Amino acid sequence: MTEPRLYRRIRRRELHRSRSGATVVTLVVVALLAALIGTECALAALGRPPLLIAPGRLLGLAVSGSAITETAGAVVALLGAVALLLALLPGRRSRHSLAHDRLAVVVDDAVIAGALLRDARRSAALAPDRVAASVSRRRASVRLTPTSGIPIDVAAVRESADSLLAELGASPSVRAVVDIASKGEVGS
Amino acid sequence: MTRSNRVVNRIILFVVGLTALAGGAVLLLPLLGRAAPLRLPAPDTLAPATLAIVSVATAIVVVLSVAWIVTRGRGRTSQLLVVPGEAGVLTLDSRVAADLVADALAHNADVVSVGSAGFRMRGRTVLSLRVVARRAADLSSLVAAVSEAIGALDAILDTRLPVLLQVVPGVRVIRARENRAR
Repeated sequence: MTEPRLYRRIRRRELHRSRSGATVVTLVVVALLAALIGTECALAALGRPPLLIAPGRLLGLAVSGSAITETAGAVVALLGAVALLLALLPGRRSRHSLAHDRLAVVVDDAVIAGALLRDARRSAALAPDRVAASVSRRRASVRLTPTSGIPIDVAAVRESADSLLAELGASPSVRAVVDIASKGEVGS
Repeated sequence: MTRSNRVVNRIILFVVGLTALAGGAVLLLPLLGRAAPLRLPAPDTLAPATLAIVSVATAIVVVLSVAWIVTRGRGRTSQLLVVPGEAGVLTLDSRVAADLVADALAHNADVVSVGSAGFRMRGRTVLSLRVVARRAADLSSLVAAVSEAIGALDAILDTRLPVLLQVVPGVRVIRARENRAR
């Protein structure tokens, strides 16, 4: 496998959940249930007394329509729906990959937010606690709280954030949105 | 990162999920005033042959499940490079690579720690570097510094190892909120 193809594969695997944990938990439950049912069936076939419940009685209980079986049915259906969602949803992680010619780079969104924060502080000349940044899949939002009476050059902040994002080359691509609090704060 | 087959993970979750959903729906049918759609054999009259078939089938399910569970997480390795020579075999541990990169990043105030591991993928050994960054780190120069250190590693080893660089936030940021920095 050539390096670009290998890197593509690595990046894709890093940006999505493996679902191994969910699968292992599911299979543990399935194995325990199967072991119980199998044991009871084997005991019944040999004419031995059941461990917990004879298979015939279990089957009778299942079609009886009592409150217990209905509750159990609801719980089982719900767990099944959760497993189906885990199987079908894309399972994206809050990460982006960055363009690089030597490394496969995968960065948590919080780190990209931190880089934008640092950049916005400098371009807006604000104290650290006046800037907040967050990154979602397609959007990076930078929120600034100006010092009362001192205007902020929004265009410059946006341009600086966009050029940082372009330099990083995040994939999926991210667009910067800059918000300025309508009320400033007094002091530095 | 491991070599786990993710498509099979999804298929297992899909099949088990669909079965559980269908089974749960059957149990809920009496609630709608309908009889079970399946003509189930009367209780306590299950044929021994049916019981035997079910026992064997469940035994197979148990064996396959356990087999799948215990084979997860394969593909990790600590040996990045194995070079057989006349005097013996030279191996490069992933920790050496981590130390090299950590050294290169020693003066970078944005870096909390550097960890490393190796994993096999498609016949190649990949070096996986995990850099824990402080809040508001200068990401571009951090990546550039790691790249430079890997360039030095390439020169020493006279080969190009595939490298994965993961940059993750420090604990304080994770605890605050996953994708947010203040």
